[in-house]
Amino acid sequence: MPRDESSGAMRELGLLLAKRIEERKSGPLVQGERSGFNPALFDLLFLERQELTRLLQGISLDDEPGREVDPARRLELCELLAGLAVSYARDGDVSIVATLVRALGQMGFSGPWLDDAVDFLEAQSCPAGAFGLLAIEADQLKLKSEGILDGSGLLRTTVEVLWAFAAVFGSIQKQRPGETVQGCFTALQKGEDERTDVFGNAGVGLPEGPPCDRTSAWHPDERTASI
Amino acid sequence: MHDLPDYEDLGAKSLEWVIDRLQEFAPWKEGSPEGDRIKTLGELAIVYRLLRRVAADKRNRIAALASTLPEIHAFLLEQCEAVEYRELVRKRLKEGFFILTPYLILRSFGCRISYHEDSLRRMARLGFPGAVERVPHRAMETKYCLWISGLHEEEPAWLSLYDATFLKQVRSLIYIDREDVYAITHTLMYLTDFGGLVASIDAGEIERVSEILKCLLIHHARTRDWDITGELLLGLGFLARTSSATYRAAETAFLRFAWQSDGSLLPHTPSACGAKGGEESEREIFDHRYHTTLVGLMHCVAAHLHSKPQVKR
Repeated sequence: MPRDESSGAMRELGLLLAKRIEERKSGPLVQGERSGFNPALFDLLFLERQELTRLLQGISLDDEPGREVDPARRLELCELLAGLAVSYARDGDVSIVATLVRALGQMGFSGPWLDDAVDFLEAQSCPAGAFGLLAIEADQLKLKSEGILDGSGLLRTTVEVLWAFAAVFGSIQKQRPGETVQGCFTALQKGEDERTDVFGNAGVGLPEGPPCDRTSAWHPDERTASI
Repeated sequence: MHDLPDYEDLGAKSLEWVIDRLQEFAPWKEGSPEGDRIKTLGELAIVYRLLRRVAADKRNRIAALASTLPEIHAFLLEQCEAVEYRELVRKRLKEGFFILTPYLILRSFGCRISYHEDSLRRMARLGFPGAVERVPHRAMETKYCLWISGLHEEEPAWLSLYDATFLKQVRSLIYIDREDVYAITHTLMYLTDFGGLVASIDAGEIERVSEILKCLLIHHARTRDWDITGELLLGLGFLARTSSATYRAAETAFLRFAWQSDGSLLPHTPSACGAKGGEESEREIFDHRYHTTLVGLMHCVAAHLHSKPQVKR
């Protein structure tokens, strides 16, 4: 687990989000800032990823972004955002999908495209409980447990996904998140206890308990090395 | 406020581009078929079928259609009568039905070439095209061609054909690739006879399919994949579902970014794929652009029937 201050704060935020999801509450808001979120649909469709991220992060403290938009156009806006979430999910871009899902949750949107995007995010849960299926890539890049992949990326992605879930499950009271978030909650707590390395490099210890069939093909030493 | 595109002008320009390059659609260069050129000729024939339908529609306002259709017809007929084409079908009877697509389209308008008719009889005796394993949307294409060509009088059992397709089965739009999207758009082309028939699926299914197309449209417009964007716009047009904000945004982008001043269309924005598309010679330009140009042409001529005339200044 990265020991620096920002990583610690991020883990705290992750734990808070996991707790709020468990309690079926929306994500934390510092204050109800009005964002004036009302982009032209055409522009939104062709925004570069970085610009889209910046735009959506700009509304993260707004408890109901897009409230100024008239209802019919608001639905079109939400549909486009949900379509973009599916689109980026096709590219395997977990981070931007989480950002889009969070915005849609904040806007109180629900629909099958959002469900697809949420399913996609849930599927990114790795065996150790974090979000981001990067073990194979890390292994191919010969990344070791120390230094190169310090886990902060995985930690950030995990918090982004949790925040997305908190926004969605908090706003529309879905009967989820189920085991994936529970596993993440446990993983974050373990990280706090310095007994595991779910986000990377601590190498202090491994989750307790005997290996079961589902994980037996993945040797604990390999897991330490590859995440 | 969304400005309606000038479909007539764009369509006429694309038609001109195609007519100027008709010879590029010819499969026969020095006696042997070049690569996928027979497929290219088949695609031209399919567009010709749609153009004829539009030209016969009293709402048609593209004057150039009437004057160019005989030219396309004569070109297709010339290609179908080429001795190389006739022999190729006879040499490859198993695939002969698919090679014959251009002829089958002409046949749908009453044209008969006795040598090809004999080839078709031989195929039928051997169990072709039925005795060729095909994926569901291609099986639908086979039935479609048998029907429009007049070889089968009975209209295909669309619903049972449709039930087996990817489009009917798909649930998640995340785990889908370009080939899957083409399977979807082609299914709709055959199911509606390129907009000539009302799709024989129920209203709920049309709604589901429209939502699928809209979602795919967002992805392919965002990634500047104009060839697929054009086919998806066509599909929504065939289902008469063109009023959504997503459709309008994607169509605006398609017409603004894919269309070139000479009437051709780029299959994707060059910077989106990090290359210029390998266009150097006229032939390479044709190979690169012809398919998207045909798609754009079909889109404009079909869409203009449902739009109000543009006020010319």
